[in-house]
Amino acid sequence: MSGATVFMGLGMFFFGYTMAIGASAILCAFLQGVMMVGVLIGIFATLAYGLDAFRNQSSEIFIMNMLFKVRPTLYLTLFLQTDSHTEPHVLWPLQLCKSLGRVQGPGTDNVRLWRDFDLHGAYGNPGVYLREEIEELVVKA
Amino acid sequence: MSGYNLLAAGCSGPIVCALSRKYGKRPVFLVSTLFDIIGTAIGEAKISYNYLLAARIVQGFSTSAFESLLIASIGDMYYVHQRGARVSFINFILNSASSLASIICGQVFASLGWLWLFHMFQIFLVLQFVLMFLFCPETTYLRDTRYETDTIVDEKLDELAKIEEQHREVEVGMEPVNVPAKKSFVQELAVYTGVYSKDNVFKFMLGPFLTLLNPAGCYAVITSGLLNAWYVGSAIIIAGIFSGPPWGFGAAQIGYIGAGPFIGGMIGSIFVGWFSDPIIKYMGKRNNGV
Repeated sequence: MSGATVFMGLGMFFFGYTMAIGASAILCAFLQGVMMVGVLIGIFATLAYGLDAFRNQSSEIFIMNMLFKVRPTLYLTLFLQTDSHTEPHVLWPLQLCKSLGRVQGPGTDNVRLWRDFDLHGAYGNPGVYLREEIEELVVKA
Repeated sequence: MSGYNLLAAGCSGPIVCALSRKYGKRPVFLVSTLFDIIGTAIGEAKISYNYLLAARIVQGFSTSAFESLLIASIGDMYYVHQRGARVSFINFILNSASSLASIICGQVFASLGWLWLFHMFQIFLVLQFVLMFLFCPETTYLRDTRYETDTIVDEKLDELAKIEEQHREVEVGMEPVNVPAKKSFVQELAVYTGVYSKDNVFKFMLGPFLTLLNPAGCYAVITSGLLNAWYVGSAIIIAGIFSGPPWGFGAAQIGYIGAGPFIGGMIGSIFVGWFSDPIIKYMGKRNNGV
């Protein structure tokens, strides 16, 4: 994911900047390509993880992935079309980092919910443990 | 216009998911291709905004299967250490090769006109339907839970080895039993291959939303969804930006901008396809085979 962050961040920043100053179209296309390198690496890393870790639930994950893609795409399109195109070069990377940062937040409550209702068992997934529970298991072992 | 297409894709997602879990992926792929053929037929019927809108909505219903189940079917067919190259190739086709289409479509639009975009697409769609019917058998299968060694916590490998050893002793000198016979080509053409789960279809329709309650699944969904959305969102507005000053590009010239993400996506795909499988093997060895 670090590779994705570097390529995507640089590509997005300079792609927006070159468009804002009306630079050569070839340069803009090149920088969009740099962004695409990051997008491909990032998507591969997350999808491969989803497929390997939750094979029995992979259909649901990829359907949800597609559903999730739809909503931000609509918002982003409106955002990028309505704002002056001098702004995106600053806002794009910042917005993305902000959005990705929010993903790291949820955790403990959901782990408990899944385990209490045995949702992992229902889908044949491996169990998920909280850090203190793992430490407890290690001490017992 | 793109919004309605995406809306149709989003609405059909849970239904596609439920039907694929219940009846397998092959019928869903075939029906999705049929929707695409019907949608394209509407689009090529007349130059009209309403016809174009209807075409894009019907085409949207076919999107879900090919954007999601296609990747899930890799999990059906390949082992963990073999999936890297396949996933990267499909990602490249889904995300990056579409930029190549913009180059071709820009030229077709400029030279032949709007309707020929649909005419040419229809040719490939019908060809795809025929090839899919003939050469894409069902990949969904029901595996003994003992063999789910990549997804279960208590692997019970000793029990598995004992059962396999007993099985091997019995099989010496006789035809193997309990091994399903390989299907013939004609048998593989069946669209309906049975029910793969006894659960209710409506229960499976809730499945995609349930993944958001799984922290790891939620991470995979949101991260890849956001990355994808940022690229798609920026790609959608390119036509508007480059058609205005200072560039003033036409459809064909805007199409050439797609060369950048196409080549960039190719480099990214080659990079992850080349390195992912060796890294998985290396990490597996380092982690004592886990």
